[in-house]
Amino acid sequence: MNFFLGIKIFFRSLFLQSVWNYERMQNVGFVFSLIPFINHLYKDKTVRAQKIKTHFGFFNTHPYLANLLLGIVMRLEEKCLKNEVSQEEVLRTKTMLAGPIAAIGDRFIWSTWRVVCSFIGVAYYLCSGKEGVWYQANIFVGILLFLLIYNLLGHLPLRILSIYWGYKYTNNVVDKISKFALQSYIVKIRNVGIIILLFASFIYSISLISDLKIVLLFWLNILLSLLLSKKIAEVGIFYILFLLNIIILTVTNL
Amino acid sequence: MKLSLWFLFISTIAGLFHLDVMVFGQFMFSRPIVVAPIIGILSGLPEVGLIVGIITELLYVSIIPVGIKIPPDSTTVAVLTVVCSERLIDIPVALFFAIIFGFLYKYIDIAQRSFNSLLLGWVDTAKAELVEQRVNLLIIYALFITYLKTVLFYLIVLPILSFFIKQVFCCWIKNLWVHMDLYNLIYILPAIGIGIGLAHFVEE
Repeated sequence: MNFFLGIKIFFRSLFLQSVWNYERMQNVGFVFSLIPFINHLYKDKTVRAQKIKTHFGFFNTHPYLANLLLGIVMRLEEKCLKNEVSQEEVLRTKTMLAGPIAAIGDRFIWSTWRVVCSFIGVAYYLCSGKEGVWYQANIFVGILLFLLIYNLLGHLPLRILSIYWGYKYTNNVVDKISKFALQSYIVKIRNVGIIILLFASFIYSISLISDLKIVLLFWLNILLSLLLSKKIAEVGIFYILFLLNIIILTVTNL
Repeated sequence: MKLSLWFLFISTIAGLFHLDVMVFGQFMFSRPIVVAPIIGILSGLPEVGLIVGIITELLYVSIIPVGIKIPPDSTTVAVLTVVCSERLIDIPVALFFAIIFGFLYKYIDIAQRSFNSLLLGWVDTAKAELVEQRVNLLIIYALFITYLKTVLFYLIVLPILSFFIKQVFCCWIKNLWVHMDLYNLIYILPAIGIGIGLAHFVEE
């Protein structure tokens, strides 16, 4: 696999979820990403079409880590061309690894990295206090902080390197990932997120101190949504606490 | 006329943000913390955009798309809340109703994904020389249909929600709202999302 082919596949992989469907999920995006490699490997149009149809079956994993599977499939397709592995084995490996890779991606990226990056962006705004009492937050700084940290330190390197890792380690990729002790990193990142958000909440609540009732309500809402989160969906919590706040504010102003 | 053009402008911009959700990249340009402040700046209400961005981002921070689960759309909620809030005090009411439209968008999204399944046969049955071309066309179709769907959605919903909030809220309950200090809700509402965000990490 040459560099330019890798770049081409990376750009195409950005469309992975474009035609997401209930029958085969990300199959169109996966095949779309793989087409340059299939064309690179096979010159005959009939064989190319056959390969595209072969990979047009069910496929679903985490959209960023799908590139790992693209790398793996590319390596296995090369071996398949040399008759070192069968086509069934290529498809079996792809299907078998999609689940565990999706689980890693959901937990590490969706559930941890994205959330912590959101916290950082939000914390920048919250720390400026009510109506910018501590400092005047620049709107673009918060947005850029979120986007740059998320994409430059997580998303893009992961997507680009995943193709390379998948191609290099093929079936051993899950073993390699497990050696990273990912779970301990997840716990550490989450702890940092909790500290950032609590710190920002504290600074923000101090800026509300001119009205003690609002400060108390602010922390009461944090406590109640923490407790309700175990039983009720996020939007449900919002509506319950929204109405509760209206009642409290109305009663205390009568 | 001026208002219609304004809604058309916002719809076309919001449509671009929505492409990031599924169709292209997932760079998180579609997150409320990005969308709301930018729409706020375009509307000349940066402070409204900022506060909506904070509240909505935190509220939806722990909702993740896993497998076939499609969450309510946070981008829709952020855009609608900012556009329908003329001042800071309008935010809680606009948000209250915009969340419902976040669910509506979710069901439209589900319908599109179901329709996508019907198109797979077009590639399955294609002749060898047309297979690659049809896969490429499916991607172009997805870009086009998602953008069109979103723009149309906003063009229909924005006037309805905006009219409703301006008429119902401003005429009927605004005086009571101000009298009871209910505008203070905008300072309290981020706390709901903070609690939800903390719970997301603490629970596990």
